[in-house]
Amino acid sequence: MELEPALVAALRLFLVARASSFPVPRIDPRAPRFNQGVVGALSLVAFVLKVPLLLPVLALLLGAGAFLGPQANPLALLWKHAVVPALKLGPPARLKDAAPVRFAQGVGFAFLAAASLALLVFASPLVGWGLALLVAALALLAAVTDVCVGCEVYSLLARWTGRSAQA
Amino acid sequence: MDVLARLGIAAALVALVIALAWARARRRAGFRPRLARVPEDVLPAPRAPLTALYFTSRLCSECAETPGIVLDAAPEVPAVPLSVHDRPGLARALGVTETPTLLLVDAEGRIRYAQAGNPTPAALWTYVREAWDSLEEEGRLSRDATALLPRLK
Repeated sequence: MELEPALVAALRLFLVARASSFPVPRIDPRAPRFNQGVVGALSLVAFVLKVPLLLPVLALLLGAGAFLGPQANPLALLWKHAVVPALKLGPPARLKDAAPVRFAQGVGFAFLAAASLALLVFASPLVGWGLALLVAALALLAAVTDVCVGCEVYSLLARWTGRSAQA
Repeated sequence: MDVLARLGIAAALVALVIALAWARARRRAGFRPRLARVPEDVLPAPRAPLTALYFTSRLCSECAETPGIVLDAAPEVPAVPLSVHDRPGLARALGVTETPTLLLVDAEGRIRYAQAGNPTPAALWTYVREAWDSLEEEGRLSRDATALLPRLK
Protein backbone atom coordinates (compact mmCIF):
# COMPACT_ATOMS: atom_id res chain seq x y z
CA MET A 1 0.00 0.00 0.00
CA GLU A 2 1.41 3.37 -1.00
CA LEU A 3 1.95 5.83 1.79
CA GLU A 4 0.01 8.81 0.43
CA PRO A 5 -3.33 7.03 -0.31
CA ALA A 6 -3.07 5.29 3.07
CA LEU A 7 -2.48 8.60 4.80
CA VAL A 8 -5.38 10.22 2.94
CA ALA A 9 -7.66 7.28 3.86
CA ALA A 10 -6.63 7.53 7.52
CA LEU A 11 -7.22 11.28 7.61
CA ARG A 12 -10.58 10.94 5.87
CA LEU A 13 -11.61 8.28 8.39
CA PHE A 14 -10.46 10.53 11.23
CA LEU A 15 -12.41 13.54 9.96
CA VAL A 16 -15.58 11.57 9.16
CA ALA A 17 -15.46 9.76 12.52
CA ARG A 18 -15.07 13.03 14.34
CA ALA A 19 -17.91 14.63 12.41
CA SER A 20 -20.29 11.70 12.84
CA SER A 21 -19.64 10.78 16.46
CA PHE A 22 -19.61 14.31 17.87
CA PRO A 23 -22.07 16.80 16.48
CA VAL A 24 -20.27 20.12 16.09
CA PRO A 25 -22.54 23.14 16.30
CA ARG A 26 -21.76 26.71 15.38
CA ILE A 27 -20.22 28.70 18.19
CA ASP A 28 -19.56 32.26 19.32
CA PRO A 29 -16.21 33.04 17.59
CA ARG A 30 -15.13 35.21 20.54
CA ALA A 31 -15.09 32.20 22.90
CA PRO A 32 -12.14 30.40 21.21
CA ARG A 33 -10.21 33.67 21.07
CA PHE A 34 -10.75 34.14 24.79
CA ASN A 35 -9.65 30.54 25.29
CA GLN A 36 -6.54 31.11 23.16
CA GLY A 37 -5.67 34.26 25.06
CA VAL A 38 -5.94 32.54 28.44
CA VAL A 39 -4.04 29.43 27.31
CA GLY A 40 -1.30 31.54 25.71
CA ALA A 41 -0.93 33.82 28.71
CA LEU A 42 -0.93 30.97 31.25
CA SER A 43 1.59 28.98 29.19
CA LEU A 44 3.90 31.99 29.36
CA VAL A 45 3.28 32.36 33.12
CA ALA A 46 4.13 28.66 33.56
CA PHE A 47 7.38 29.20 31.63
CA VAL A 48 8.44 32.39 33.42
CA LEU A 49 7.62 31.12 36.93
CA LYS A 50 8.78 27.57 36.12
CA VAL A 51 5.49 25.93 37.03
CA PRO A 52 5.31 22.86 34.76
CA LEU A 53 2.23 21.55 36.60
CA LEU A 54 0.19 24.31 34.92
CA LEU A 55 0.74 22.69 31.50
CA PRO A 56 -1.25 19.47 32.11
CA VAL A 57 -4.08 21.61 33.51
CA LEU A 58 -4.12 23.66 30.30
CA ALA A 59 -3.88 20.43 28.27
CA LEU A 60 -6.98 19.14 30.07
CA LEU A 61 -8.90 22.31 29.25
CA LEU A 62 -8.02 21.96 25.57
CA GLY A 63 -8.68 18.21 25.74
CA ALA A 64 -12.22 18.92 26.95
CA GLY A 65 -12.69 21.18 23.92
CA ALA A 66 -11.22 18.60 21.56
CA PHE A 67 -13.10 15.55 22.84
CA LEU A 68 -16.42 17.07 23.97
CA GLY A 69 -16.57 20.04 21.61
CA PRO A 70 -15.27 23.61 21.98
CA GLN A 71 -18.51 24.68 23.68
CA ALA A 72 -17.67 22.21 26.52
CA ASN A 73 -14.23 23.71 27.12
CA PRO A 74 -14.36 25.17 30.67
CA LEU A 75 -12.88 28.43 29.37
CA ALA A 76 -15.68 28.67 26.78
CA LEU A 77 -18.19 28.13 29.60
CA LEU A 78 -16.43 30.84 31.60
CA TRP A 79 -16.70 33.14 28.60
CA LYS A 80 -20.39 32.39 28.09
CA HIS A 81 -21.55 32.44 31.69
CA ALA A 82 -19.19 34.94 33.33
CA VAL A 83 -17.35 37.20 30.88
CA VAL A 84 -20.22 37.96 28.48
CA PRO A 85 -22.70 38.87 31.28
CA ALA A 86 -20.04 40.75 33.29
CA LEU A 87 -19.00 42.90 30.33
CA LYS A 88 -22.60 43.14 29.09
CA LEU A 89 -21.55 41.97 25.62
CA GLY A 90 -24.19 41.42 22.98
CA PRO A 91 -24.47 38.37 20.75
CA PRO A 92 -21.74 37.88 18.13
CA ALA A 93 -22.25 39.28 14.62
CA ARG A 94 -21.97 35.76 13.19
CA LEU A 95 -21.48 32.26 14.54
CA LYS A 96 -18.56 30.08 13.50
CA ASP A 97 -18.32 26.40 12.59
CA ALA A 98 -16.91 24.58 15.60
CA ALA A 99 -15.08 21.83 13.67
CA PRO A 100 -11.83 23.72 12.87
CA VAL A 101 -11.72 25.11 16.41
CA ARG A 102 -12.15 21.62 17.79
CA PHE A 103 -9.32 20.33 15.64
CA ALA A 104 -7.09 23.24 16.72
CA GLN A 105 -7.85 22.53 20.38
CA GLY A 106 -6.96 18.88 19.73
CA VAL A 107 -3.59 19.96 18.36
CA GLY A 108 -3.07 22.25 21.35
CA PHE A 109 -3.99 19.40 23.68
CA ALA A 110 -1.47 17.08 21.99
CA PHE A 111 1.34 19.66 22.17
CA LEU A 112 0.68 20.57 25.79
CA ALA A 113 0.32 16.90 26.77
CA ALA A 114 3.67 16.20 25.08
CA ALA A 115 5.20 19.23 26.85
CA SER A 116 3.89 17.96 30.19
CA LEU A 117 5.32 14.49 29.60
CA ALA A 118 8.67 15.94 28.53
CA LEU A 119 8.89 18.10 31.66
CA LEU A 120 7.31 15.88 34.31
CA VAL A 121 8.23 12.37 33.16
CA PHE A 122 11.27 12.58 30.89
CA ALA A 123 12.92 15.59 32.56
CA SER A 124 13.58 17.24 29.21
CA PRO A 125 13.12 20.98 29.77
CA LEU A 126 14.30 22.01 26.31
CA VAL A 127 11.62 19.95 24.55
CA GLY A 128 8.96 20.62 27.18
CA TRP A 129 9.34 24.39 27.37
CA GLY A 130 9.95 24.59 23.63
CA LEU A 131 6.57 22.99 22.94
CA ALA A 132 4.89 25.14 25.61
CA LEU A 133 6.33 28.32 24.08
CA LEU A 134 5.19 27.22 20.62
CA VAL A 135 1.65 26.76 21.95
CA ALA A 136 1.86 30.11 23.74
CA ALA A 137 3.00 31.92 20.59
CA LEU A 138 0.33 30.37 18.34
CA ALA A 139 -2.42 30.82 20.93
CA LEU A 140 -1.54 34.49 21.51
CA LEU A 141 -1.31 35.08 17.76
CA ALA A 142 -4.78 33.57 17.33
CA ALA A 143 -6.16 35.59 20.23
CA VAL A 144 -4.77 38.88 18.90
CA THR A 145 -5.19 38.45 15.13
CA ASP A 146 -7.74 35.62 14.75
CA VAL A 147 -5.14 33.75 12.67
CA CYS A 148 -5.70 30.20 13.93
CA VAL A 149 -2.93 27.99 12.59
CA GLY A 150 -4.69 24.80 13.75
CA CYS A 151 -7.86 25.90 11.90
CA GLU A 152 -5.81 26.50 8.74
CA VAL A 153 -4.30 23.02 9.06
CA TYR A 154 -7.82 21.60 9.48
CA SER A 155 -8.96 23.48 6.38
CA LEU A 156 -5.99 22.15 4.41
CA LEU A 157 -6.49 18.55 5.61
CA ALA A 158 -10.21 18.70 4.91
CA ARG A 159 -9.53 19.96 1.40
CA TRP A 160 -6.81 17.37 0.90
CA THR A 161 -9.01 14.51 2.05
CA GLY A 162 -11.96 15.74 -0.02
CA ARG A 163 -14.23 16.79 2.80
CA SER A 164 -15.67 20.24 2.46
CA ALA A 165 -14.48 22.49 5.27
CA GLN A 166 -16.26 25.42 6.75
CA ALA A 167 -14.25 27.49 9.16
CA MET B 1 17.96 29.74 33.32
CA ASP B 2 16.93 32.39 35.82
CA VAL B 3 13.60 34.18 36.04
CA LEU B 4 14.90 37.31 34.30
CA ALA B 5 16.09 35.35 31.28
CA ARG B 6 12.73 33.55 31.11
CA LEU B 7 10.94 36.87 31.42
CA GLY B 8 13.06 38.21 28.54
CA ILE B 9 12.14 35.25 26.31
CA ALA B 10 8.46 35.65 27.18
CA ALA B 11 8.60 39.39 26.48
CA ALA B 12 10.33 38.78 23.14
CA LEU B 13 7.62 36.29 22.20
CA VAL B 14 4.84 38.73 23.12
CA ALA B 15 6.60 41.50 21.16
CA LEU B 16 6.84 39.21 18.13
CA VAL B 17 3.11 38.43 18.30
CA ILE B 18 2.26 42.14 18.64
CA ALA B 19 4.52 43.01 15.69
CA LEU B 20 2.88 40.35 13.52
CA ALA B 21 -0.59 41.55 14.51
CA TRP B 22 0.36 45.17 13.79
CA ALA B 23 1.86 44.30 10.39
CA ARG B 24 -1.23 42.33 9.44
CA ALA B 25 -3.63 45.09 10.51
CA ARG B 26 -1.57 47.67 8.63
CA ARG B 27 -1.46 45.54 5.48
CA ARG B 28 -5.21 44.99 5.62
CA ALA B 29 -6.03 48.64 6.28
CA GLY B 30 -3.70 49.78 3.51
CA PHE B 31 -5.13 47.57 0.79
CA ARG B 32 -6.24 49.49 -2.28
CA PRO B 33 -6.82 47.62 -5.55
CA ARG B 34 -4.34 48.67 -8.24
CA LEU B 35 -6.94 48.33 -10.98
CA ALA B 36 -10.18 50.29 -11.25
CA ARG B 37 -12.07 47.35 -12.70
CA VAL B 38 -11.94 43.58 -13.08
CA PRO B 39 -12.26 41.76 -16.42
CA GLU B 40 -15.91 41.21 -17.22
CA ASP B 41 -15.36 37.48 -17.78
CA VAL B 42 -15.04 36.92 -14.03
CA LEU B 43 -18.62 38.09 -13.51
CA PRO B 44 -21.29 35.39 -13.71
CA ALA B 45 -24.15 35.72 -16.19
CA PRO B 46 -26.69 37.19 -15.90
CA ARG B 47 -24.84 40.22 -14.58
CA ALA B 48 -26.10 41.50 -11.24
CA PRO B 49 -25.98 45.24 -10.52
CA LEU B 50 -23.50 44.44 -7.74
CA THR B 51 -21.41 41.28 -7.27
CA ALA B 52 -19.22 40.36 -4.32
CA LEU B 53 -16.04 38.81 -5.74
CA TYR B 54 -13.75 37.32 -3.15
CA PHE B 55 -10.27 35.92 -3.61
CA THR B 56 -9.66 32.59 -1.93
CA SER B 57 -6.65 30.31 -1.57
CA ARG B 58 -5.93 26.77 -0.44
CA LEU B 59 -4.79 27.86 3.00
CA CYS B 60 -7.66 30.11 4.06
CA SER B 61 -10.12 28.93 6.67
CA GLU B 62 -11.49 32.50 6.88
CA CYS B 63 -12.60 32.32 3.21
CA ALA B 64 -15.30 29.77 4.10
CA GLU B 65 -16.99 32.53 6.13
CA THR B 66 -17.17 35.05 3.28
CA PRO B 67 -20.23 33.77 1.35
CA GLY B 68 -22.16 33.53 4.63
CA ILE B 69 -21.27 37.13 5.49
CA VAL B 70 -22.44 38.31 2.06
CA LEU B 71 -25.63 36.26 2.45
CA ASP B 72 -26.26 37.76 5.89
CA ALA B 73 -25.53 41.32 4.75
CA ALA B 74 -27.13 41.44 1.31
CA PRO B 75 -28.65 38.19 0.05
CA GLU B 76 -29.46 39.91 -3.25
CA VAL B 77 -25.75 40.32 -4.05
CA PRO B 78 -24.19 37.15 -5.51
CA ALA B 79 -20.95 36.02 -3.86
CA VAL B 80 -18.45 34.69 -6.39
CA PRO B 81 -15.18 33.03 -5.29
CA LEU B 82 -12.01 33.55 -7.32
CA SER B 83 -9.06 31.34 -6.48
CA VAL B 84 -5.70 33.11 -6.51
CA HIS B 85 -4.29 29.82 -7.84
CA ASP B 86 -6.65 29.94 -10.84
CA ARG B 87 -6.26 33.68 -11.51
CA PRO B 88 -2.72 34.51 -10.34
CA GLY B 89 -2.31 37.26 -12.95
CA LEU B 90 -5.47 39.06 -11.89
CA ALA B 91 -4.63 38.75 -8.19
CA ARG B 92 -1.15 40.18 -8.85
CA ALA B 93 -2.49 42.99 -11.04
CA LEU B 94 -4.97 43.99 -8.34
CA GLY B 95 -2.33 43.83 -5.62
CA VAL B 96 -4.08 41.09 -3.65
CA THR B 97 -1.65 39.86 -1.01
CA GLU B 98 -3.95 37.90 1.25
CA THR B 99 -7.17 35.93 1.28
CA PRO B 100 -10.01 36.52 1.60
CA THR B 101 -9.99 39.82 -0.27
CA LEU B 102 -13.46 41.07 -1.09
CA LEU B 103 -14.34 43.28 -4.05
CA LEU B 104 -17.77 44.75 -4.60
CA VAL B 105 -18.06 45.30 -8.35
CA ASP B 106 -20.81 46.66 -10.57
CA ALA B 107 -22.20 45.04 -13.72
CA GLU B 108 -19.42 46.55 -15.83
CA GLY B 109 -16.70 45.25 -13.56
CA ARG B 110 -15.90 48.58 -11.84
CA ILE B 111 -14.63 48.09 -8.30
CA ARG B 112 -16.92 49.98 -5.93
CA TYR B 113 -15.43 48.78 -2.68
CA ALA B 114 -12.49 46.58 -1.68
CA GLN B 115 -11.36 45.05 1.59
CA ALA B 116 -8.61 42.65 2.58
CA GLY B 117 -10.09 40.25 5.14
CA ASN B 118 -13.73 39.68 5.94
CA PRO B 119 -15.94 42.66 6.78
CA THR B 120 -18.70 42.31 9.35
CA PRO B 121 -22.19 41.83 7.84
CA ALA B 122 -23.19 45.27 9.13
CA ALA B 123 -20.15 46.95 7.52
CA LEU B 124 -20.72 45.11 4.25
CA TRP B 125 -24.37 46.17 4.20
CA THR B 126 -23.22 49.81 4.55
CA TYR B 127 -20.79 49.40 1.63
CA VAL B 128 -23.50 47.76 -0.52
CA ARG B 129 -25.83 50.61 0.32
CA GLU B 130 -23.20 53.24 -0.57
CA ALA B 131 -22.30 51.47 -3.82
CA TRP B 132 -25.98 51.24 -4.70
CA ASP B 133 -26.51 54.95 -4.02
CA SER B 134 -23.57 55.91 -6.24
CA LEU B 135 -24.85 53.63 -9.02
CA GLU B 136 -28.21 55.35 -8.74
CA GLU B 137 -26.64 58.81 -8.84
CA GLU B 138 -24.64 57.84 -11.93
CA GLY B 139 -27.83 56.58 -13.58
CA ARG B 140 -26.39 53.11 -14.05
CA LEU B 141 -29.36 51.24 -12.64
CA SER B 142 -32.08 49.96 -14.93
CA ARG B 143 -35.64 49.55 -13.71
CA ASP B 144 -35.06 45.78 -13.76
CA ALA B 145 -32.02 46.18 -11.55
CA THR B 146 -34.00 48.17 -9.01
CA ALA B 147 -36.62 45.44 -8.97
CA LEU B 148 -33.88 42.89 -8.23
CA LEU B 149 -32.91 44.68 -5.05
CA PRO B 150 -36.14 45.95 -3.53
CA ARG B 151 -34.51 46.50 -0.13
CA LEU B 152 -32.11 48.98 -1.71
CA LYS B 153 -34.69 51.21 -3.38
